[in-house]
Amino acid sequence: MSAGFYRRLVGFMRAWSLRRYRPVHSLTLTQSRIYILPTRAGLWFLVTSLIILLLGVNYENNLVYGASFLLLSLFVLSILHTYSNLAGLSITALSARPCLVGEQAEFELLLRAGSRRDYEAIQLSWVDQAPVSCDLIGDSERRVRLYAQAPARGWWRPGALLIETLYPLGLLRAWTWLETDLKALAWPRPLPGDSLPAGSGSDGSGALLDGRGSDDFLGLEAYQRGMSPRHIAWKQLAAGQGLHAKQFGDHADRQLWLDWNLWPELDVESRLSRLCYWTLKLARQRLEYGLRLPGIEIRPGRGERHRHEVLRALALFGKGKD
Amino acid sequence: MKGVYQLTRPALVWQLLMVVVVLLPHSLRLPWWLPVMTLGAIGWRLLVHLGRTSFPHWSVKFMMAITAGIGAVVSIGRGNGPELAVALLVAGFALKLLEIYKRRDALVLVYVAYFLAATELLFGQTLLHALYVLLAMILITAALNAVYQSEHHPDFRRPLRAAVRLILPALPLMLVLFLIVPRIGPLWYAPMVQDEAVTGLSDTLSPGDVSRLTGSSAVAFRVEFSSGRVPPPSQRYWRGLTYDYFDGRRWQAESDHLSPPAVGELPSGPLLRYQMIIEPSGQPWVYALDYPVSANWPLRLAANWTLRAPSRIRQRADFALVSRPLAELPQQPGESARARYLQLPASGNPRARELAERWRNEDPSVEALVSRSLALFNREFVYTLSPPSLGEDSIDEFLFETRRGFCGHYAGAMAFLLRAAGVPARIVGGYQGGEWNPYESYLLIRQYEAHAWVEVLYPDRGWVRVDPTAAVAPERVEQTVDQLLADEPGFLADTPLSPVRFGRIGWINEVRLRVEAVNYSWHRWVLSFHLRQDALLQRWFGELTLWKLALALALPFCLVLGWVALSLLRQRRPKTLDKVDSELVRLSHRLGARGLERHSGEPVGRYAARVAEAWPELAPLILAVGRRYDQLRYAGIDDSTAQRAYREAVRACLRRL
Amino acid sequence: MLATPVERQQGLAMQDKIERAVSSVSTLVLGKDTQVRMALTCLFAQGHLLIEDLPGMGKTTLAHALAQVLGLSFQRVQFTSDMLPADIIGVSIFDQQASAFRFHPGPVFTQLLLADEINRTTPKTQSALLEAMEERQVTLDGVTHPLPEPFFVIATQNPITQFGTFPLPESQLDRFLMRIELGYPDPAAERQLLSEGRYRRQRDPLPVCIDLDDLAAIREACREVRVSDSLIDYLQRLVQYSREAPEFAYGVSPRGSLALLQCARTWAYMQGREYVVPEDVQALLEPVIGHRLRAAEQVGGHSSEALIRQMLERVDVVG
Repeated sequence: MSAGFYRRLVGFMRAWSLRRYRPVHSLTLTQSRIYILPTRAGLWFLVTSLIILLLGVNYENNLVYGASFLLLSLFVLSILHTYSNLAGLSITALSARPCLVGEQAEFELLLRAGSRRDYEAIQLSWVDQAPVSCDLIGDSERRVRLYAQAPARGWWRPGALLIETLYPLGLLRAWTWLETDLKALAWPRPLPGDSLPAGSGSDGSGALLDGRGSDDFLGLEAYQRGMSPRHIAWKQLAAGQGLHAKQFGDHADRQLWLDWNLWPELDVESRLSRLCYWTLKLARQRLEYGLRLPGIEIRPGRGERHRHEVLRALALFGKGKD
Repeated sequence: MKGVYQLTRPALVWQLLMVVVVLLPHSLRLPWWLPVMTLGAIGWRLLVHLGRTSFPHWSVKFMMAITAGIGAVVSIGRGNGPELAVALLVAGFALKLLEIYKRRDALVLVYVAYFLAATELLFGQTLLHALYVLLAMILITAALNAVYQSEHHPDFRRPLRAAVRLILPALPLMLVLFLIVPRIGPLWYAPMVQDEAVTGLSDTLSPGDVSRLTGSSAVAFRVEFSSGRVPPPSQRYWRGLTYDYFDGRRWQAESDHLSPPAVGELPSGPLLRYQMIIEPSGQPWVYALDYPVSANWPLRLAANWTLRAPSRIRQRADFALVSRPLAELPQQPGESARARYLQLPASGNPRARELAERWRNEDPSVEALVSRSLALFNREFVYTLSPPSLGEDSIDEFLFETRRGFCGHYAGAMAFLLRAAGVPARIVGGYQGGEWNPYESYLLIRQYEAHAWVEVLYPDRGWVRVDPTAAVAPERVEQTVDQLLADEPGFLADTPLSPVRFGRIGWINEVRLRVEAVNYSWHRWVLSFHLRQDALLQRWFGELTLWKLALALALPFCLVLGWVALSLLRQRRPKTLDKVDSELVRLSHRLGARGLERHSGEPVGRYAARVAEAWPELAPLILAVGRRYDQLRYAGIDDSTAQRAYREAVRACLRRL
Repeated sequence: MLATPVERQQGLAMQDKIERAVSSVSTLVLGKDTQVRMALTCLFAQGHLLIEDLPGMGKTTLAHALAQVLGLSFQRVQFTSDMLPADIIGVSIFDQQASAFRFHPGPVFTQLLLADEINRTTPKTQSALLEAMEERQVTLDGVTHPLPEPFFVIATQNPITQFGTFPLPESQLDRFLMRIELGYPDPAAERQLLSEGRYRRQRDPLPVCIDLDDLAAIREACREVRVSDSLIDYLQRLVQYSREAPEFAYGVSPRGSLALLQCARTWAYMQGREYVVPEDVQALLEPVIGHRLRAAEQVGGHSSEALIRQMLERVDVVG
């Protein structure tokens, strides 16, 4: 069987199998979905047992016959064992983390043992991606993180999930394909660009501040020469604690707007990418920023949630609702 | 999908363990340097694992492979196919050890291990061998499982558990296959595995030869009688070969090229049918009770009425024989044959010749000569296992000086005397006696029961069996040898711990007989099963048809597989409730009829309170139940009085309902 | 283990004292009997208490009243965003006369500390307090200052996410033995509150009902409260459920289950029972483990309270 033919056969089977079922959130594996076939190692095992059988035939040695029959029985039994290493396992699609296009998005799945049994050496992978192996030994559930590369901006699905196992003897492979309802958001690929054009600030007043603001009190630090006397902690000095300077976080008195019209020379995707780049950069600098896209305006803000909101708007721009 | 799998530490340890277990029995047969090389490879691999050294360069491995291959051919020789093949496999096996870094390498090793473990059965087939190979199979399976064990939970013991869980249900399946799958003959000629050991009688007989065999309690053959009465001990003469040529020192066996005798010449009489399972002796002789009249292929009947296998018996063999138990064979050989049975060396042993001459002069009749020689032995001779060694004229020395000897001495001396007196005679080598095993109803004949006696040609009666030993020591043919010889220093000298030694202690003897019975059944039902399979299957299923066999195969398979599947896939069952809880459940169930069933998660005390509120008449009773329950369960007052009180409270409630 | 009559007598007397303490506190915190008992349970079990509620629900009153009936020294710290760790634990100041650093203990050096609106201050200050809570000592400039014995913290937190707050992370929440909510008073209590109005504050301080010796005796006695195998089984089933059920992102930690057992013992003792029954565990499940669990992401819109109620229904007491 040539490799190409094999791959095409598997691809056909997968398509057929996935057509039969809708994407699911959670699923318990049963015989209707578990496929099982001998592996190459399993075929070699059969060949070994047949050679032993031949030995028994030629030497008329009943014990050698017995040894061969034992191995054949082992093969038959390992069908059940391999199958049961998937059967009853339930998979729940938990979450998908958004990421930038071209990065690996993280998907979280929950595996649960259907009964008190152990499941060992189960491999999970998105089709054609690197597998992750996991077990349920002693504990009845486990979270698994899988990664897949985000192909394009917007919502995307990682494709079919392949769950397979070779345990216990590697003679057979039991597997199933499963389309989960997980979808991840891919933000545009950041496009680095020179400094933010002037006029992006709401008051138009100027350049970006690096780091420090003046309003938000963070704590004390040892006073060093050159620090503003306005920041000296007089109260602490009076209490005899020495000379300290108050440390302030930067405060969002400067509101920046990331505007669709900032880079008129770029096409749509590049603009989104450039906006994405600046969103990430401003968020890193803990500045307050807002976003204006045609038909969308997000008021300036800070923090993780705000960043997600902005990036989401960028990811989904022009993609319709979902 | 194919990744690179590094073996976990338990997997590697299992591999090494597997190699040791598989090679241990083989190593006794292999040239000494092979096990040494294997140990070296194991050591090297361990050092690699510990990070002390690295894997050998491919050129080193190549050189080692070439050297090992040539070494195996040189030290075993190409003539010995199976052993050479095994040696080469072992060499490859050991060298492969230096290569396991990936899953695939480990798999190659495991599969070869399966094969090598199975080949062990070509060299030995006792029950112990089989058990050892079964153990090896379990360990190999564990090693295979360890390869596929999760790398997140490497564990040394889990693979063994998994292997046992796999192999145990495989045993009944194996048994079904063993019983049902038809055996076919060898597909091509395969040279038998050589077994150098030659035991039993040989084709020359010098006076001390037979007593040498009494050192061993090894089994010579086993006999099961299928029809006819089992002959008494004194009639159990198992003829194997006859000696007709005396060179002055030792007797030589009659050559086989003689034409087979005509069966019809025997007088009519009862027939004995029996099955003989003969142990490998390295000789072609098959022993039969007196005069065999028919034997299954490929045995041949020689002119002296003994049986021959077509080649030396190197494996346990199984024959169906029919004999006519006769002390005499009314048959006269031709003139040339007569001359052969009178042959004596031209000179030597003058005193014996003189004695024979004197006897013949006094009374030339055969009867008289036979009885005089028996009388001679009876009078002054001693039967012993450790006779003094004899010089040049051995017969003279024995007859007139030492007068101590074993059966070989007597038979040789008597045949010499008779021939010297002009009576044709020959020595018969074989076994006499046998131990009856009541548990499996068969006779067991051991090496120490080897015996030699004389057949004398009477002019009117033909060949007549004469046992001079019986004249010296009649007990020898009536008792078993172990009873007779137990105190002799030479008896069982080769097997000092043989249970036969302790035969006189009742229970040990019983245990020994039982063990031997098991062994016999093993031979009969397992090792030579292919001879019995047809008969057995026909007895079970009547006329054998394909679909019947398929059914016989499929039905037990489905049963076993169904059982295994059930036990594997069994869902979590609700825990069985103990008495206290089940009473509570019953009560709650009865109250459920009035909509007052206990909810899941509702504590009993609170439940009781709820019921009491809803149904005030029941309040004191149900509250008592709740109180008692809490006391039993949580306050630690769990004695029989408290349990009784609780039960009574529940009953009282139930009565009220 | 059955107590001798004398011990039982003492036990009863102790429960009387506890009842008196509860009713004393209840004169100030109206209609919150259960919460008062829970708070006492928490303190008896040597744990710190987190009260989560809206402003003005009587959190401070409760803490103050508890300090009074237990006769404990009391400090109240209002947390603000500009507060520094030193403001809580104290500072070392150079004393020119002695020409050495002298430690000026902060408000944390008290027997009962009310940390008001702990989520308003920065994580830095929060963790300084939480470390002191955990270790029951303060280490400054390499010198360790033990905190008074007993040492309780009652922290309050405003649950509504507001701008400029720093909610305690889960790992820190674990340091509190219990989290309770006071909730709105029931109508009768509210009526009484309104009618008494502003006069309530002018009352005399509450009498000390339980002194330090009593506290030690209660702790000792709680250790003797029996926990049967059946109860441990039940507890274990609950914990196991929380770890297996998909509605929880993660289950109860071993620390959580130990805390539950400890509180259940104290609760049983306060009821005058010598053994723990499932009712005790059920009563305390929400306050003890509610803040230690997190609902999984896919079960939106369920409060941990609802999930715990569901857990109590699904895990049966029997079997």
